[in-house]
Amino acid sequence: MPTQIKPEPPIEDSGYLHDPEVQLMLRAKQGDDAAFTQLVKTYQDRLTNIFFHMLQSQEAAEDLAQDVFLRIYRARHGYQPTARFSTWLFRIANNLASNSRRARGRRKEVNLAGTESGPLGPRPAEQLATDKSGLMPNRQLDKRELQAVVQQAMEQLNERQRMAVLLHKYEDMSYEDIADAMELTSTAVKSLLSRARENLRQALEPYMQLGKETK
Amino acid sequence: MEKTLRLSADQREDLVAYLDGELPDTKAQQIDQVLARSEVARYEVEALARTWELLDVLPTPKAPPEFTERTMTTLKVAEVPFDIREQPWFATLKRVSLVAVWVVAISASGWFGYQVTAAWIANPSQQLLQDLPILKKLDLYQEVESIDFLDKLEKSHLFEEAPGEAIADSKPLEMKTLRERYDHVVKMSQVERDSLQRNLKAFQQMKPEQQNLYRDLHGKLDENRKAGGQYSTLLQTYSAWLQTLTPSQREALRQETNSQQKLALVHKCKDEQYSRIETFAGSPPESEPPNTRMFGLPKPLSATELSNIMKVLLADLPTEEQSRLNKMPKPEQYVAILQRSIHHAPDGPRSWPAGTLQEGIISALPSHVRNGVKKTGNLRERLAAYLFISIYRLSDEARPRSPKEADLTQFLKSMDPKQRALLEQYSPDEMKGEVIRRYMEQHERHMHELWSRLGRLRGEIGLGPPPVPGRGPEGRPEGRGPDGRGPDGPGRDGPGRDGFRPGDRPGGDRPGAERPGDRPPPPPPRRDGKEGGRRPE
Repeated sequence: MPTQIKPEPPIEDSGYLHDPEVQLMLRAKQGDDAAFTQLVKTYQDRLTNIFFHMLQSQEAAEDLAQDVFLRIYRARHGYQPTARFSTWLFRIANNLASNSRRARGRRKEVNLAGTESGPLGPRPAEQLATDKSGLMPNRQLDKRELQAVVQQAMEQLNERQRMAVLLHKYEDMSYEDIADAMELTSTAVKSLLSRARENLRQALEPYMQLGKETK
Repeated sequence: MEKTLRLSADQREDLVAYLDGELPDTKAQQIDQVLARSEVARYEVEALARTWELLDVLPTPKAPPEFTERTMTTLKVAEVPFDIREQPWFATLKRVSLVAVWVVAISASGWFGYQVTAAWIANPSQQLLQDLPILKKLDLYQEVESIDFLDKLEKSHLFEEAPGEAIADSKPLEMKTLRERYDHVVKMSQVERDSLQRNLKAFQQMKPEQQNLYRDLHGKLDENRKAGGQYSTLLQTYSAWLQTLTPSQREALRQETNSQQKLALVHKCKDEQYSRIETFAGSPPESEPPNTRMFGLPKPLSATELSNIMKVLLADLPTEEQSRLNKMPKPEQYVAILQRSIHHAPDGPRSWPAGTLQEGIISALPSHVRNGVKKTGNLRERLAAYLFISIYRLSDEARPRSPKEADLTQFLKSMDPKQRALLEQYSPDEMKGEVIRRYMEQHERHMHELWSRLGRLRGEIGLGPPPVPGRGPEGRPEGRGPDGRGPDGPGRDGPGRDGFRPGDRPGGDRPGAERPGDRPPPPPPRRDGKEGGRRPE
C-alpha cells in the first residue's frame, strides 16, 4: 500500500514572499538545511551584537543567538510568512532577551559593564565613565574611554528603550518594524525612542565634541 | 525672541522622528519652519544627531567563526528523538535503581533465610514451650513408652490402689497458649528448670518418630483423663513403684521396649520384692497383702521407733556384746542384735521374745502399735514378724539407689588392680556404667546376705517352715511355685517367665519353675502396696 503523503497547506501570500529571507525560511521548512545555514550566517553577528549590548556578555549573547536559531528551526514546520523574516526573528530575540534578563535578575547575578571588566570591578576607563563629576571634558579621551562612556549611557536606558535604540541604530529598522518586533504600536515606539535619545543626549552632551574629534 | 524659542514636549518627540525620517510630510514641514526660526531648536536637533552618532563608537562584537557549524550541529542534535536513556538523570536513576534492587534483593534474601531458618531449625525455647506438658512428664513417659503398655498394666491389675491409697495425679495445668507456658516456666524453681532443660536436651536428641510417640502418648493420656480414665493415676502409681526398685531393675525395665516383655519384667520385679518379704516373714496368711497388714499389724516402725526397740534388745545382752554391737553400722547392727538376742533367749529361739524382754519390747512400741499388737492372737510370732519386717524396710531403704561420684571412686580404688585395668580399657561412659553396675551388684549381694541371715533367724524362731533344700536358700514355702504361688492355684495373666533367668532371683535358681504356657487365667483385681505386691492366691 503506497504511503499517503499529506499535502502541504498552500502558503498564503501576505506580501512578504518577496523577502529573500522568507524564501530561505520556506526552503528550510521543506528540509533545506543549507537555506537555514544561510539564515544563520546572515543573522548570527547581528544577533550577537544586539544581545551583547543587552546583556553585556559575549558568551551569553552567543548562547541566546543560538537559542533564537533553535526556536526558529523547531518552528519551521509551522512557519507562515506573515511578516518580514527579520521582524519575526527579532521578536523572538526580544522575548529571549527579556526572559534572560529576568532570569539573571532572579539569580542576582552582577553584570559588570563591559566585557573586559574583571572581578575586581570596573577598570579605570569604566570608573571614569561612572564618575561624571570627575570627568574632564576638556581632556582628550581615547576611543576606549569614549566607548565606556557611551556604553554606560546605554546601560542607563531601560530594557525596552535600549532594544528599540539597538534595533533602530544597528538594524536600521523602521518604527513600524520595531513595533512589530517588540509587540508595540508605532506611536509607542516613537515615544520610546524619543525618550531614549533624550536620555542619551543628556548623558553624552559633555562628550559630543570629543566624540566628533575621536571620530 | 524666536531665536530662543524652545520646543514643546510634543515637538521634541516629533523632532526625533523628524531626524529618523519617520515624520509625515506635513509635520516635517512644521519642524522645518520651527528650525528656521529657532536657534535653540537647531541646537537641540544637532545635539540629538550628534548623540546618535556617538553610538557609532560602541563595539560591534561578532559571532565566532565556528558559530554557524556549532549552531547547525546543535539544531541537528536537538532534532534527534528524545531518548530517555540518554538523559543524565536516567543514568543516576539507573544507578539508584540498581542499588535499590540490590537492597531489596538482599533484604528479601534475609527475610526468606530467616523464615526458612525459623521453619527448619527449631527454636529451642519455642520447642520447650510447645512440648512443655510432655517434657514435664518425659521421665514418666520414658518408663512406659506407649499407651499399649499402660493398657496392659491396667488389665494386669498389678497396680490397683485401694481407696485412699492411690497416688493423686497432679491436676494437669491448662496451658494452652505459649504465653501461659512461658509464665509457668518463669515461675519454676531452678531445680525444676534444670530438669526441664535436661528433658528438652534428651527430647531433642530423640528421633522425630520417638518424639511423636511421646506426643501421641501424652495426647492419649489426656483423652483418657478427660474421659474419666485412670491411666494418669496408674502412671503415677507405677512411677512411685519404680522408686522401690534397684537401679538395675529400673534400667532393665527402661530398656525393654516390647510392652509384653516389659510387663513380664514388672511381674518379675514384683515377685522379687514379694520373695524378700516372704523370705523372712514366713508364709503369710492367704489373701493377706505382703506387708505388715498381713500380720494384722499397723505399718512398719519408723527408724526411731525401731531404734528404741533395738535398745531394749541390746540392753538385754551381755555388756561386752553391747559394746561390740554398738560399733557396727546399721542395718547390720540390727540384724546382729536380733541374732544375739534370739541366741540368748533363756528358753530357746522358738520362744523368743518372751518374758521381760517381750514386755520391754511392747512397752517400747508406740502406743497405737502396742494396742494393735496386743489384740492379736499369737503375740510372740506377730511381735517377731513385726520386728523382722521393720528391719527389712530399714535395710531396704538403706540400699544405695544412685551412687555418688565419691562412692564410685572409692569403689574403683578398692577393686582388684587387674579388674580395674580391664575397666580402664573401656570408654569413659562405658567404664562408669560398668563401675555403677558392679557397685550396685556388690550392694545387692550384701543385702541378700543380710536378708539370708534374717531368713535363717526367722526359721530359728519358728516363723514359717524352715528352708527347704533345693528350693532356694530363703526357704520358699512348700507347695509354692517360683513366684510363691501354689502349683495348682490361680495364676497370673502375663508374659510368663521367659524373660527371667533363674539366677536373677534373689534366691538363685529354682527347679520346677513354670513355663508361660502353664499359666492359668489372670486373678481378680487385688490391692497392692508401694512396698511391693503379690497377687492373691
